[in-house]
Amino acid sequence: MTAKTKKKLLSFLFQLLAIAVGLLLIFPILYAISLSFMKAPEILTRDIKLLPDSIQWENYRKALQITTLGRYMINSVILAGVSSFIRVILASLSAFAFAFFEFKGKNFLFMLCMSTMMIPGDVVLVTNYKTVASLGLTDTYLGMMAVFLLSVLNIFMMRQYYLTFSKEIYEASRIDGCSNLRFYSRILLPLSKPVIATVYISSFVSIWNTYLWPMLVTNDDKLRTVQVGITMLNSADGSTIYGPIMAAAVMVLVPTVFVFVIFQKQIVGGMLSGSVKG
Amino acid sequence: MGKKFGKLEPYLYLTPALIYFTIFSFYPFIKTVLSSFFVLDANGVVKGFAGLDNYVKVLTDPLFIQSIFNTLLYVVLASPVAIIIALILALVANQKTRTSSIYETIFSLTMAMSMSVTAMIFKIMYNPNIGIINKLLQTKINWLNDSKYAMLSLSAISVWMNIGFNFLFLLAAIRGVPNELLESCLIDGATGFQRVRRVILPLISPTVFFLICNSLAKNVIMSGLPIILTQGGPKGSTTTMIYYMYKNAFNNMNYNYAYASAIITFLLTLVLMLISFSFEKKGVHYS
Repeated sequence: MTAKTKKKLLSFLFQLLAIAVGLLLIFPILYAISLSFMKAPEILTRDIKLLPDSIQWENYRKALQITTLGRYMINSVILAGVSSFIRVILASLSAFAFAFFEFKGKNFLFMLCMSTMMIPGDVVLVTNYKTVASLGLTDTYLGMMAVFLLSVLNIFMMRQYYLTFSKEIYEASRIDGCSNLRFYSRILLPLSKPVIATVYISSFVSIWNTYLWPMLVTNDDKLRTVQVGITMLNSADGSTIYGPIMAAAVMVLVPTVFVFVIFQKQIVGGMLSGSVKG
Repeated sequence: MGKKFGKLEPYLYLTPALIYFTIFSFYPFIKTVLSSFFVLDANGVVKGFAGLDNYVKVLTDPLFIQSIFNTLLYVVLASPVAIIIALILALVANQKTRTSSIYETIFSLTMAMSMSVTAMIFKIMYNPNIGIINKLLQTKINWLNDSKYAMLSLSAISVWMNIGFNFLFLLAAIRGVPNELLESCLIDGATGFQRVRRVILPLISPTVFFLICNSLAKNVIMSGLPIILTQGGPKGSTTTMIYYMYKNAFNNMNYNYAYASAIITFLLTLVLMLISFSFEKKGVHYS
């Protein structure tokens, strides 16, 4: 065996092992998909049963009958999609100021922003509800988005990213007569695609996943999100509901996984790639 | 335009964020702090000054004391494990191979999972009779209803959920380590482990610091899993501090307990955050 084929074989085994570890990691997801196709007796058996006897869609039909899952999904997509977009804009603007400017009170303002991270959202839940209610925003999309429009973690993340930028690009573009706003929109943002993707995806997922706030500010069933829809299935009693719950769970998973896989490439490009390379 | 505008410019970029934080973080926070020193009725209306009474009452409530320990246990069980596992996965995925994009996606997939969906899946897996975990381990443990195991079970869910998020950030950071640096230390004859410790870890430390802060903040205020899965039980073993607050605010309409416990939770978060900030000074290198 030549050194080259040996190296190839080792790489092949390494990849095989990595994928095996990955499948083990996402076992709960695979198992949920499998359960969603099982008939009640198959789920309730005391034997180890990893795969359904046959693919049948009965659980999916039942899940869609019990709730208006389609409508819930549209609501969740609007909530998560729009809020995350606003987050990227607000966070990148703030991070731009913190990373590229020297100004009075910069450290203080940065610590002030950072201190919001230490204010747990749940602590201020009741007061925020009252604020949103007094603005007449209950049962509106804006009310649902209100507490998700900015997270200091996003500012922090983007600032960390910008700090790794060479200051030379900024200074060079300034000397070339490029205004700050132009540098931000034409140079900084295009160069920060990886971190934007990261912020957008992590925001989208975390907002898609929130349960308590959207439930608190909406009474109208038409505005409910998928997370609430899922818990409605949960409240139905009896163990025979396990199949439909898993079917609903799988349907809720699909959009996030979809968004996730699409944006994956931009993230793995690396948070630092695209910066100065000579 | 001119110099004056130049001086004001950074503040302009910060204004939207500052206004937003004022309305949805600082104002409600200050209001919560102030309210915790007053006697409130079931509608949240002020009935009189309470001083430290609310705090004394909460801190002498055995359930609240228990919830402090539960929360700390949860943080200790969940935060480091999720970061360490993610770091190992990120080191595995760092090397680009023909299939690396496949396992990268798989490793990060748990990030796409929602709390309620995950809770529902694990609920079935933890089921003492039909759950796959007991079947595989050949045990009969009542994972969520046994006070010995309930918090451990919730922590395991949290670790699983956070692996993907942590992995994604660590991988991006590791990929950001300049190749020239790694190559030059290969020439110096550094072994794989030395490379990780001397070159990769220092360079990715801003990311690690970010993840530690993020995990602490997330885990100390955790309330979703007990709300969905255990209702704080059995025997209060999964009552976290925020769950205690939540129950008092929304079920018992006891805003006195709710606000005081909220502020105490905040103080605990603060201590943990300060610890990780001091860690930043010692171990984080910015390039």
